[in-house]
Amino acid sequence: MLKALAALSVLQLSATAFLIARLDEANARLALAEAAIAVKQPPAAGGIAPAAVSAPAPTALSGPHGASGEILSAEAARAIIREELAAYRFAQGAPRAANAGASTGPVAPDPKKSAAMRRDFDRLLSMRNIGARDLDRYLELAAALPESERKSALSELSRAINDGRIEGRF
Amino acid sequence: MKSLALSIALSMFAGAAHAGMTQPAEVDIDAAAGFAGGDQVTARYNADPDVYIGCGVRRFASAGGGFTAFGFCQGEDADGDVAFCNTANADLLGVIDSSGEFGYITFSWDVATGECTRIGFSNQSFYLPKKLDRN
Repeated sequence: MLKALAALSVLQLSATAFLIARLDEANARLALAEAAIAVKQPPAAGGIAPAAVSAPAPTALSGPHGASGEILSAEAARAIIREELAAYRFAQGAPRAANAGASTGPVAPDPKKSAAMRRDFDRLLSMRNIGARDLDRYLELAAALPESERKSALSELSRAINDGRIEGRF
Repeated sequence: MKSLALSIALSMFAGAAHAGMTQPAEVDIDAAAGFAGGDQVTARYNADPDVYIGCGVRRFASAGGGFTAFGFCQGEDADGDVAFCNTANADLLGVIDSSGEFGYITFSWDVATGECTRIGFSNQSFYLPKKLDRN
């Protein structure tokens, strides 16, 4: 069991190191591409005339994509960088999005839902002693309200429990 | 027979000597200040059947694919003081999610609104019950 865990740890470390190496490579390529673009593009105004700027020589890159010594143009380098950055951003962003706890967006006011919320609060007041199902129903109604109304409904419930008008253990 | 009795007595002593530290925290609520605290085991085995403390979360899926989350903490102490607060704050919900089964719970709330302003947990060995049954 311990051996398997150790092997997994080594595997995880290797994968992390590989990702870091890929990121460094992408950063280096981005810097090269930016330099190439800066040379190729004419200044916006008042600079040297386009004719005076010589076309940049294709840049030789080493590394996984240029291991055979192939010459990449700035355009090809940009395409590679875009791919690498997209993959990196996806790898970075995906877990965060899963744990973000995204809540619903703005909810439009609805007088019927507001009235239903009010009726349910009155129902809880009349019951005095409420259970978990009553709380869930109340919260479900609150979830359908705009944020300000939702907060108000929850505050009413909290105050009612704290001052003893409603009793409940959930 | 004598040696059996002696070994039983010694084993009981040894058990007591290796019990570890305990630090029961009675549920204490200051409703006027909006403060509550206490550990779950002490509350659970309190002589007063009304004493309790805890927190919970409800999440409701919405048609749009998101969800709405509500968290709450509540308790009652031996004096009959009651505490309840609610929260939709992501950080406070995260604290509730990280709670343990036997720990100390503390929370504060805005008395005017009933909204939780602070939620804390302390998961320590000294809050564990005297004995946990094995599976």
